[in-house]
Amino acid sequence: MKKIPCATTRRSFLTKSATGATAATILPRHVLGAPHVPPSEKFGTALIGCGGRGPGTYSGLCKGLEVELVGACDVDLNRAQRFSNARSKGKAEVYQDFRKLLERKDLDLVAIATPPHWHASISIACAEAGMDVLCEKPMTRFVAEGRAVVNAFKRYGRIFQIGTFGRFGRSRDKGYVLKHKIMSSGLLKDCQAVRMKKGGLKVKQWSGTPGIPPQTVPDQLDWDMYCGPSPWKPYESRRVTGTHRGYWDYEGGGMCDMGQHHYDPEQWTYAKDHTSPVEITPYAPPSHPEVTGMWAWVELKYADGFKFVMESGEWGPAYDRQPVRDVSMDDLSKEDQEKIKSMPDPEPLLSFGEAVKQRKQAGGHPEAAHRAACILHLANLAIRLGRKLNYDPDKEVFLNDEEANRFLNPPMSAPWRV
Amino acid sequence: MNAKEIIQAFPQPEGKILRNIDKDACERAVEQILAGGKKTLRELVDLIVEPGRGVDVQARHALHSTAIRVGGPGKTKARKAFSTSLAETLSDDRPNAVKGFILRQLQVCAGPEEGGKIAPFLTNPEDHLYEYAAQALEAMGPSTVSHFRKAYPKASGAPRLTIIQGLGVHRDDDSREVFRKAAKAKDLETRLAGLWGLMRIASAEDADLLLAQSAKEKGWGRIKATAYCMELAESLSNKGRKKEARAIYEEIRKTRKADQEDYLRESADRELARLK
Repeated sequence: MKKIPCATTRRSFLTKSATGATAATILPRHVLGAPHVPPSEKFGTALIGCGGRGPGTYSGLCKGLEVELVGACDVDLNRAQRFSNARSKGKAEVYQDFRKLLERKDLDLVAIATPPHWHASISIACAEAGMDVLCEKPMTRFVAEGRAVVNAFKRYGRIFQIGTFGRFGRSRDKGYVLKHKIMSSGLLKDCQAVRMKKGGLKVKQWSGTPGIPPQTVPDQLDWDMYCGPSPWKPYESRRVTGTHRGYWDYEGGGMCDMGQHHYDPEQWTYAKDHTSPVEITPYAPPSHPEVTGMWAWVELKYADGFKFVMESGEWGPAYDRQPVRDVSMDDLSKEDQEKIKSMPDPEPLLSFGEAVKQRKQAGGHPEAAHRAACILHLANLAIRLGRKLNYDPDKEVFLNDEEANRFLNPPMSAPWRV
Repeated sequence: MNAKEIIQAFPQPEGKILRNIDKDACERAVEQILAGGKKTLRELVDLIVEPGRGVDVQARHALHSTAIRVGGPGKTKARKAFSTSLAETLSDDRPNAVKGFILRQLQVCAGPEEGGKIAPFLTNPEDHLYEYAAQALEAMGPSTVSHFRKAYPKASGAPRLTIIQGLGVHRDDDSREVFRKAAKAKDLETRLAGLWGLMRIASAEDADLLLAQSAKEKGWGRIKATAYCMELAESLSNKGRKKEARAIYEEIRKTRKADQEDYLRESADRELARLK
């Protein structure tokens, strides 16, 4: 097994600098920008989920950091081996079970690019093992998983960044910063804004195919491990390698595939990183039990009146409940406009690499990523249930709808639990 | 209309997906299934086959849609009637894969009153029926815990692990001894399920057991068992049992001496500072 020397010193740096203790004396040279970086000062890294987005997610993890790939993990061993060969000339050890990978003592940073039904369990395990994480979007498969991820990263003081970065650009754009200030100021009462996302959620592209007969599991694939926390189902090839997006067991269609890219920056802009919608109204036909399908639109209203509307543009009628309009300074009195102008700009958002070095929260931190994922989960649940839902964003439960609450925290298959 | 005619309102895959779906026709079909009562429901369930043994996309879609649409605020009577009839079909001679599908629909709509019809599957190791039954019962809420308690002594292997986990999901105080026994089992995942159960019931008197076991475990077992100690301390702290929480954090602080575990010492330090 490949071992990076002085791993413990690295880990000491990672944790001690979080508390500001004697950082200067233990700071590795690469943090100080030295041109030559001895291997002992590299972060040990791994990728879990080596197909599809995996290599790209791993590159995101490494940005701005000196790293050495020590492990590649995938339920399909061929994929893990290919990634190890490509990024470490085969030196990085290959794993089929992430539990064995996380036992390594030279591992500091983990990129997770499995299908989303594994994101929460693996992220939490990484935090429990003392590692920082860059996790592909969508963050989770259901709401309670997200809260568990938030709690775990807080408990262990680890860094988490979701794999979407639109909010970083927004936080540097004057127009979006102004909207952010208006919305975060609390000065806008009874907000009338309606923000529309029309199309782009790949409804048909990531709809699943129902009724495919079971197939023989390929030799290199650990199918039981693939199913993991989701209900066990017979193997068929569309449940893996990208087309998994069309199955409720693993993701949530194009809504979840593309939604976090769109709503993560929107949520930052409109200052909703710490809350969720209170009313969700859908227009959708009855859903199939296994595969994602068609829907027309979903309206998500926050407690302050602000609304996100998503319109598929691929099926059914257009949204016509309210005209679309944005927030602006004109929504405020002259006196309040002056208050906005005197507000300081928000703190710059830290990239994953900066957050790891500074031991501060990354821009796409767990709470923000969870709340953005909740927008997608709540929209999908309204689509699946076919009725208006009322949601308590603090307790994270639906109000007066016991059957709907069953979908917020569906039981997991043993031995997986959050 | 019989069920076969009713389900024609639901689409067949076209270009692999269910793109041409008529919302109004499907909603009407759901109403017809409900209006048809037990007879129509049984006809519908009879149309569902083992995967690979025929085409039943419309039948599965129709049954699931009905199970979803019959739930929600103010529909208790209709939901109960539907769920009772659906649960009764579990006792028919049907393939396990079809029973599994029925169990998953009961997870969506049935109340605890149907628990007795689902519980016998908790110990059935075939085709993951125990898993589907456990998840249906867990979804129905804590009043189904008695089924897990009764099934536990009769179960072995994967069903037994699933049952221990189910008792933990329900935070069953009365299963303390089950959790304690599991926490000392030979199999790692059973041990972890037992420790997790003790953490879930916030058992202060078992803190020493959790700490001792977590110190003994290696690798993955140590990571998870330590995490359960940390969560137990958090639960106790939230319940105002600060002295017991403090003792756990102090023990973690004292025993996690390796450099690779210094993040645990720091987490414990942070919590100890908060508890002052």
